[in-house]
Amino acid sequence: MINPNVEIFETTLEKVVEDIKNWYDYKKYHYVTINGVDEGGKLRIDWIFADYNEKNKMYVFRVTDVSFDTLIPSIANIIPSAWMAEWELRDMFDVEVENTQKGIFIKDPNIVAPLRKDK
Amino acid sequence: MGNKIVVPFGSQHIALPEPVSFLFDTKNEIITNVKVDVGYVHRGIEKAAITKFEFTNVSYLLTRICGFCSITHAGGYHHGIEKLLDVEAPKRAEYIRLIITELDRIHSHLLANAHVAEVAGYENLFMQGVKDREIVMDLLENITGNRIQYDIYTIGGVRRDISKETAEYIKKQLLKLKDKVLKVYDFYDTDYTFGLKTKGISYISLDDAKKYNVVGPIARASGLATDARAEFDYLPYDEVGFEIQTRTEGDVWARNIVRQMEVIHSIDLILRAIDNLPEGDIKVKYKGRPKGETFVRVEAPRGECFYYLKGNGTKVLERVRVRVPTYSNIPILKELFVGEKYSDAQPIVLSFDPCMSCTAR
Amino acid sequence: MVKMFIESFKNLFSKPETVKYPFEPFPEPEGFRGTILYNEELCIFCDKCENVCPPGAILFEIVDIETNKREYNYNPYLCIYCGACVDVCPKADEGCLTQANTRTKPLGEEVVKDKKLGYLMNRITNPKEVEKAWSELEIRAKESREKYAEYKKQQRMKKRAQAQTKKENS
Ligand code: SF4
Ligand code: SF4
Repeated sequence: MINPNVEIFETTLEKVVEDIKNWYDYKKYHYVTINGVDEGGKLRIDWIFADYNEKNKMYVFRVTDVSFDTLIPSIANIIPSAWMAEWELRDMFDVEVENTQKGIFIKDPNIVAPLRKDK
Repeated sequence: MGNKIVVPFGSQHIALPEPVSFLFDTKNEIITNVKVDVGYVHRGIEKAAITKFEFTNVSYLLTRICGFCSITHAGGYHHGIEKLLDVEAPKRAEYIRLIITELDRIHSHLLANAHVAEVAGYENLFMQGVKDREIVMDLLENITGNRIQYDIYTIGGVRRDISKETAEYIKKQLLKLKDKVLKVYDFYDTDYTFGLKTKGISYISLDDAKKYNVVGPIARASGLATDARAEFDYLPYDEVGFEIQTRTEGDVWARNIVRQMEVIHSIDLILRAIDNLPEGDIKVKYKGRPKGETFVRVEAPRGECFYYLKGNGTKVLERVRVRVPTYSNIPILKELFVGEKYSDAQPIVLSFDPCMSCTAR
Repeated sequence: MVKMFIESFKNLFSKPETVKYPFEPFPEPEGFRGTILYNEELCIFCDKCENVCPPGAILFEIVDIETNKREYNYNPYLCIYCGACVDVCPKADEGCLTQANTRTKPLGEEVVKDKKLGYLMNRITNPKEVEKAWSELEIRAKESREKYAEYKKQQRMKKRAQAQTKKENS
């Protein structure tokens, strides 16, 4: 079950930045966050947006089956406030994201990728 | 022209309520560059929520993310899990939830405003604000049995009812509080020295607020009418006549005024909710295990709080994602410092009312 | 100006807003969520409270494996006073597990003693030992559970073997 008002755009890792760029209008939509889910060895990434004007409406750009060693593109030049979530994604899942550094949330070098099920 | 000097602000600082560290590059008094570190209090709550706790008592963990908005986290979680389990809380429970949520907002806003006054050098106003806040804390303690961790939410309703006497008591105290808040509001509004320290400082334009996806009172102080209470259906806010409060000045002063306006509006909302408290049960039974995924947005005192829950039909959830308001306000905060005076850094940070234990989780 | 002076004079002689805790008692309101009190006679040892407790502040230790005699232990300094245990207890209405509306005294000079606080708190005298004793108890309780499960398994096997021999004999 999922809320009826969530619109999901399935896309691929190569196209996602392009898609968001073409679709996103900062006056109308409002970026919420980037979320990763470990789906058993594969990562699923959601870029989540909400609408200023329409009640309950949310939009999700979804990329499934991302392996943990691919480079994930950054959307920080379209949405300047997205860098926090990208850095967090890197810390939590130990994946490479463009233009990010490790260690904003997890300082201890012994703890790697806490939200991954295989580690 | 002076030399570049690096000034650390935090992680321990007399003006900071919580650990966050900023490294300012300064030239004379002016800040030219900022580095920010927010992860000092990372406790791995998202990890614990999907390994150690069953879905029935994850909420006791999640509410302890933060003391101020514990009710927000309870709300975000419960509104999500109720969708996954397909239960609906009775009307009376929804109203009680609303009352507690708004009381929580009042006490958080009062302290945030008082804090700004304190770092702007107005100690007396701080004490006035905190004194008034105590009324709300007592009310919360009376209704829920605890000052900070209310734990009133439960799946399918609330754990405690509001009796007739308590309702009367709340009404009496809130009317008293309203007078006091209006008095303090006057100080924030008209005081000359307070204005000097706060007016025009750290201006955010409406355009910037949208570009950086600012949330909460900070966005509303810049004229951006965003509020999860109006944008997402989770509690009967329409029925009690909720309206978004905005200002257009976009500075530290406007943020304080917006918060103060919201306090007054929240008092009105609670009074209306108590007058129209529906009769009936406060709890319904639920069956089954959570399955599927859901997105929830609720309005914390500091702005919009986002929850993502995914269940897989077992007792333990598969993913719990919490995105708190401060998390999405840090990027603009970082940009704002550039070009401001170092002496204004404290009011700027505190006008954002940052909550680091939420951000780092 | 005059108004200001009047105000300050008023404040000089008005009652303080704060409570002088710890010299004065800090009043708890009705329905305050305080210490968890236990009554062994009414308990049916369903273990629901132990399973629900988020920080694990309730532990049952099986002291006698053969009779399955259990001892209730409670750590008021680990408890987060959520009240979840009282909500799930099937005998709560009769007063088996209740939440008092007074707070537990802080762990200062001595450990609070009350029969209703469970066994461990009554066995410790030195407040510095509470933490250590509790972590030892956690290990002991877990072991006792494993031992009990082992014992049960053996009993079952024995029974099965007996039944088998009976069958063969008949
Ligand atoms: S009140 Fe909460 S923490 Fe304390 S013993 Fe009961 S369930 Fe455990
Ligand atoms: S839930 Fe109540 S009856 Fe069951 S073991 Fe705990 S105290 Fe005893």
